[in-house]
Amino acid sequence: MKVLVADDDDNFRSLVIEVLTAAGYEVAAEINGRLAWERLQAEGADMAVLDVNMPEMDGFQLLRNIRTDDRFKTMPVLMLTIRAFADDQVEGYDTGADDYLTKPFHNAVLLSRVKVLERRILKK
Amino acid sequence: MIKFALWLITPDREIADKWFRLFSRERFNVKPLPDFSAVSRIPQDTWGLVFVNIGKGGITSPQELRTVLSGRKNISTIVFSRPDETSNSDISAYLESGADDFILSNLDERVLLSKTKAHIRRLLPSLNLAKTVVESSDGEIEIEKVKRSVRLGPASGKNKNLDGLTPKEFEILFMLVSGEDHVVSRKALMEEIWREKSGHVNVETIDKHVETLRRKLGSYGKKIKTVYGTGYIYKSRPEESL
Repeated sequence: MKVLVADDDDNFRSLVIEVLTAAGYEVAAEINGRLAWERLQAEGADMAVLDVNMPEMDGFQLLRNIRTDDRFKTMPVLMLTIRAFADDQVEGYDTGADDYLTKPFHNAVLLSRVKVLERRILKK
Repeated sequence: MIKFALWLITPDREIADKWFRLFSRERFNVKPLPDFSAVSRIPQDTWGLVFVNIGKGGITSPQELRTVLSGRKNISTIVFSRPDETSNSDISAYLESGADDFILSNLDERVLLSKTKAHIRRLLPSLNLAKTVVESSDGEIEIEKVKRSVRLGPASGKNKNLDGLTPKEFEILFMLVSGEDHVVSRKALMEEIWREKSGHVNVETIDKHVETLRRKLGSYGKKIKTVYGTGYIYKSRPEESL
């Protein structure tokens, strides 16, 4: 199960990679939305964990790109961000996010939410 | 015709009333359930989301999720609890036992709605939310919103379509049957149907509409009970006086 991770914060990105790889996921990580989008197009992925505030292309724009591309429009996406306001969460869900988790996060909760998305893929 | 509903399972009246109003305002078919085990009695051809409170009168363990949800691919479960009663280990345990989501009971209403719609998009991508069908638990009344039709009597037996309801009467009936066994206050009716805050619509106006609705429903009108000083409740089966 391959997870695309996009986060410009080195510490959070490293932590997400650590949590997911320890659980057996293959992780493709990038430092901004543009690079993540290019990598997704080149390599594909089963699901994505996206930060919102990133240089060059933010997480919401990346999510819009994902949802308007036939190859990825049903791919589970979890937004993982410091933006905790209701407006941000509504924008995330309305743009097509499947889940929205705010930083700082509890490692086990992140992993459980990724497993929920994995179950959805396996159910199809 | 796809049957779709949102079920609420919580002993907390405040949350039940608040979320019932929220989802009804969005024209969802919302129904209360007495406890989580009742999910196993939901017909297999019905789709929907179950919102269930952790604790007595809701769900008491993650293991219960696995047992009740076994084989129910058309139902998603969203577990919730009060922020002061929630631990990260609870969240993980329920999510890993089959819950599709875990939320806090004080979640902003706009976020709750967006989240709910995201679950519905995933569960039923083809569902047109306007096509809600509401059926009373005994199958004696079915209301179809798009056609604005009301069937009285069992689907497979002798039945008739009820004509002549005004738009307001139709909306009242839809709201009452949607929330069967759940008190709908006059205040909620004012806000959801008249789209007015309390005080702008005379209480007698609502009572008059309900009286006319009862008369048009004939013998089925008796299923709408008055809850004195509060509002109305739809009950399929006769019970003790309220």
